[in-house]
This record gives sequence, structure tokens and C-alpha cells, in this order.
Amino acid sequence: MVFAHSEPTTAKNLTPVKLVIAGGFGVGKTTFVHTISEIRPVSTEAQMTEVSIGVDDTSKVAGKTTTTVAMDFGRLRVDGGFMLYLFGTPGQDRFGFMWDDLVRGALGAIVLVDTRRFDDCWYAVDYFEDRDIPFVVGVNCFNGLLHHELEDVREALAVGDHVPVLSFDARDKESTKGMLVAVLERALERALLRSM
Amino acid sequence: MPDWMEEHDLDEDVESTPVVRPYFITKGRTRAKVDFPIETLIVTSAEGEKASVRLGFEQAQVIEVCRAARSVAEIASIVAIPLGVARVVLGDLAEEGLIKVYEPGSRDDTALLRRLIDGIRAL
Repeated sequence: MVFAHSEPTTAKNLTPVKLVIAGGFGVGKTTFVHTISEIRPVSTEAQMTEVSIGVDDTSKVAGKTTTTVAMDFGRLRVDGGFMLYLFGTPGQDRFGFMWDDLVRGALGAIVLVDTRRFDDCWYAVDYFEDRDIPFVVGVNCFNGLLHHELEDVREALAVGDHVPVLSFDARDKESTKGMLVAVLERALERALLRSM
Repeated sequence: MPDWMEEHDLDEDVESTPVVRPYFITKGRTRAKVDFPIETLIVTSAEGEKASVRLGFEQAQVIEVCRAARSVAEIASIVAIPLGVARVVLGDLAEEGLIKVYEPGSRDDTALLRRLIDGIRAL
């Protein structure tokens, strides 16, 4: 059983919250979740049928009525009162229909970038910008090397100055914590602006 | 035993179709009564503990799994049912008061965001 080792929890004064980790295949989403999660990251399958999701695309695929998508996620307890869930997005485009369900209610998002493959993250950047969901961009430094200057990344992605673009190491706990704090600070900034 | 189980002879199909079709569990319904976000936390209520004997297999599994707080996504993963099915089952259980539902915090809640930031720094 996947959760055999997880601690029993009571939900008294417990508030679930969610952050989304987006980015292309192999960019470090699963590593990120693995590094910070209290449980081994798990997958759940979301099955789409012709009537369960409003914006699916199955009508175009003859004879195919369901598609199964795996979502990876992990969780960590914060400040005694919060259960923070981290959800990795499935690949874009084909599974775009799933993003609305996955992202709904998220406090914010972290878009992981592979500087050799910017193409993979444009969908995510557009998605979060269009929906006013606070996000930060993270450049995973494999082997401690940063191939491009962060400002070059910002320029390539055409994100505004209000969006933090940071380098980090998905294998390092302190580094991933720093990314979580960064996106929450961005969310706080947005929330304060909206409340004025 | 729920009425829908009495209407069908489950044993009849076991050999030819070993896997129960997901939406059989929900009596064909694909829309949940409550639209839970995937991180919504669920805990079995005192009423739920008492009711588990009269529930269907998946419903009883959910009641068992949620003795510890679980998110909708975790429940789907543990019980091995699609998210959509989990939502329908949870909607039914919530309506009967057999589970307690803890809704997610909002990204517009500045106090919540501040507590989270401090909490993560302190990890």
C-alpha cells in the first residue's frame, strides 16, 4: 500500500492547499516533488470519458472513449495546520483539458524550465498568465551549471518583471523550499494588490 | 446492501470481465453532487465509522482509508478508482454525513499565505 508509512492525521484545524509544478518532460518535476514531499510521490489516474469532462477531445478519435492520465503528487505538513499538496502537471497540449481540474484553486505554480527546450514551458507560462495565477519560473541547474543567464531566460519566455526567474537544484531540499517560498511570496504580493 | 447490487448478478460476469467498470460503482453517474477540488481533505465522520457495514465495497474502502485525513487525489490513488468516480462516491458519502470535508484555502487569503511562508521557512 502506497501510504502504509504515512502518519495518521486528523483534520482538526487542517487546511489543504495546493501548488502546481509545471514544465516539460524530464525537467525535474518528479525530482522536485520527491525532494520535498513527506510521502513518496504517487500517481493517480484520472480517467476521462466522453461525458465526464466538458472540453475533451475524444470525439475526434474514432472508437476511443476514454483516456487515462497519470498525475504525480506529493504532500507535506506545514505549520501544523496546513497540508500542502504539490501536483506535477501531465504533458501539455494533449492533456490540456486536465489542467483546469488540476490547477483550480491552486495558490500558485512553479514553471520548471529546461534552457535547451524552452518550447516545453510556453504552454504553462501562457496558461498561468491568462488566468492570473501567481507563478515563478525555476531553472533547474543540473550539475550546478546554469547554461543561460537568468535574464536571458526571462527574455526568452517574455515574462514580466513581477515574475521571479530563479535557479535552483531540484535534488536539494533547501533549494526546493526556496522555490516554494518564492511562489508563495509572489502569491502574497498579488493578494495584497488585489485587496487594495 | 445498496439496491443497485441487488439488481445485478455480480458473479455472472466475473470470469469474462475481471475488472469492474469504473462507472458501475457510481451507477453510471459521472457528475458528483459536490465538485471537490483534488486537494480537498476528507475524514470519516463518527456516523461514517458506524455505517461502513452497510456500504458498497468502494464506499466502505473510502470510509476506511479516510480514518486518516486524505485528499481526493490520494483517495482515488489508494482505492484505485479514477478521480471522477472518487468524486461521485465522495459526494454521496458527504450528502449522508458519513465524511467530513475540509475545503482548500484561497490564494487571496493573505494571512494564510504568510503562515505558509513562515511555516516552510521553519521546516
